[in-house]
Amino acid sequence: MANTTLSVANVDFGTLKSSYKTYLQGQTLFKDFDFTGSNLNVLLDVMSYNTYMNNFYLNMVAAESFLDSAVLRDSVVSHAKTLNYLPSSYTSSKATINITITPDDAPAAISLPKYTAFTAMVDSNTYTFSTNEGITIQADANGAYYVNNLDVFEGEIVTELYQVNTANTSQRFVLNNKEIDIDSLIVNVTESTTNLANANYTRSLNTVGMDGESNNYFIVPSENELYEIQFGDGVLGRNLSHGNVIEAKYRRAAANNADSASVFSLAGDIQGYTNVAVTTVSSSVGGGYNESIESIKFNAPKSITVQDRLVTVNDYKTLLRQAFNDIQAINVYGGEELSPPLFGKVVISVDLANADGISDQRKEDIMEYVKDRAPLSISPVVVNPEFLYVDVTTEVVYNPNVTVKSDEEVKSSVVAALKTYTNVSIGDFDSKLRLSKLSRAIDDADPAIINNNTVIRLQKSIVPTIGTPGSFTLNFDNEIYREIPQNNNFVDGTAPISSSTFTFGNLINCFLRDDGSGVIQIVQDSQGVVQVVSSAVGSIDYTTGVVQIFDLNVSAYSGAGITLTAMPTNQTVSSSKNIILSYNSTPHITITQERI
Amino acid sequence: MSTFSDFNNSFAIHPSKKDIALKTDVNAVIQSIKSLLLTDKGERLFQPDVGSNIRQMLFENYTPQTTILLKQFISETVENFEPRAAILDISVSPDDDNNTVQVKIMVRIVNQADPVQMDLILERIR
Repeated sequence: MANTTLSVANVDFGTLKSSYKTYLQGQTLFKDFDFTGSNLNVLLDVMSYNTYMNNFYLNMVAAESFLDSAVLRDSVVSHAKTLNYLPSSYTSSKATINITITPDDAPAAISLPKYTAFTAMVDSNTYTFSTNEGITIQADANGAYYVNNLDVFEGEIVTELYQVNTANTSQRFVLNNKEIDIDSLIVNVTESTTNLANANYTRSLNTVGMDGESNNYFIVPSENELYEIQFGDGVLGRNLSHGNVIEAKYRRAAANNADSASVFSLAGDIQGYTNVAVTTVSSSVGGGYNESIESIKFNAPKSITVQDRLVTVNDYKTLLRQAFNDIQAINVYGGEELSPPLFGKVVISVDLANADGISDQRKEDIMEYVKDRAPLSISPVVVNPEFLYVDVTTEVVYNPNVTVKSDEEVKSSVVAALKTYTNVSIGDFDSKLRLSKLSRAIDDADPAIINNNTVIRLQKSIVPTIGTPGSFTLNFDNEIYREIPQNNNFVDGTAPISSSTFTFGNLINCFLRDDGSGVIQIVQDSQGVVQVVSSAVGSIDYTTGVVQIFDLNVSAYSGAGITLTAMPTNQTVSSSKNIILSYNSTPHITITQERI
Repeated sequence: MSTFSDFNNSFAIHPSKKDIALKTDVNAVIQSIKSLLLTDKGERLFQPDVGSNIRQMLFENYTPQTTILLKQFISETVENFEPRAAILDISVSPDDDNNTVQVKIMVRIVNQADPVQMDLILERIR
């Protein structure tokens, strides 16, 4: 029968003690339990504390028993292991370089061994980069020895040796550095310290196609952020024998600390030659830390549904985020959604952390990764994201009688509120910005603000080459407001599509605008009088928001480019496909006082 | 039938019942007051206010103010934590030769006609 009198399933000392007192009310032998100074009361303290500690301990044990509630990394990793999920490790920064060797003789070939080291400085720290394959360099027709587009990876090369002892049934092969880049791990097994016959073992993600002769190893997460290598049992994978010597060689990475290295020099020599010129093709990128607890908890359950195959959109997002830990935002969609459609393609748009867009090298890495996991008829296309900027214009009215803040201080509060709101709501693929909520965020920026009148516009930039005709397509991805000007004038003085100024021919203060009937014109503002300079340089589809500009030839412009601003029809703006909605961080704020 | 009952500090065994011996009524209340006075604040788990802080004065020089403070501590403790007793008088006498303080407390205990005097010797224990 359940105990309905004594409730101890609590982690509050006071409640526990109270329940003991309630229980003791049912007896008459010890009556002083409710007096603070009595011995029985002291005994209740001890019992309550003991119960409290037990309950707390059990609570923690229960919490660590589930992936959802576990907080210790080792617990989370252990749960992930049961889902066959391997948390991502540190990753080495990767750079691409060209090297040219000028020998003082004329060898037939020069051998560039694996792990040839180069050094580079980042923030006053020196990092070692090394090759991950050996290359033989032949002299070209001119007798020059060079290698182009050579990938080098940051990290100290570490070698660990283990001797198999079958008498020790609990022997484990735990690699000693948590900074290991597991993609760099190479495992060799030698027969014994005297018989040096050896074999290279390859990493296996599952047991498909494996038999007792397969030279495979598995890598699994271990305690304290370390990784452990495991070998087969003789049925699935070759079983190791007593006395075998395992050599594990890998890079110990410095994560993203070694990113942005751009000047490399040879450390030591190449086959005795030291006259080596190194030029950088692409600076180092892609370094990363091992996967965080939160990320493991998020990805592990999804990974088991993905099964290392790329089929659905979420498969792509989950696996790519897991494999490339420098991905900040990712969107994936089918080529049939494009205009014109590209059937059989999967478009992957990626924005990397600490960079706008993605380098060609990284694109190739991703495509290589996808090809091994996607269905045969599917080919991946990795594209740069397009940034669609939101421009905010707001008139803020506040009551100076309820605040000591100045106009400038109220303005600062509004700027901060805009930044906070946009950070949370946009800045990613498939994001939306709702004007009503933005307006509320401005109202909430300071208690003294009475109301605001806010308008949002969309911005994109083009970078024409001076003096050269150029065509541009800009996708605002939202329906654009359409207005027919009366006598060449728009109601608020600005066309729904307008640009920053540039010089066209020898005409200064020219800008682009739409004419209300789907045509983009070049007009000139001459002392307040707007005149059409070129009646048709492009078109606009107001419904889709696509603006096309043909053969625009400008003589000069200020800034980094020409910015086109569009007024959306709807008060909610959104982005889709490879467009990231982003805040331009230059709000136009007018502050007005109203004393109430 | 006793009104108050508590087990003995010493966990003594009742000679005939062979059960744990009890302290009842006046004896139970006096034992409770002694326990409270010899408990420092913060000593009881999760109840930082319970106790008297008398032990804190162990290494203080004995002055007339010490007597006043001791009386104050005793009075406050009984008033706050022992509702079954009311202090009638407190006498504090230092015994310099023996490095002890003799405390006599006269209390009235509920349901008891006569006041009760309890003696407490404060001394170092090591």
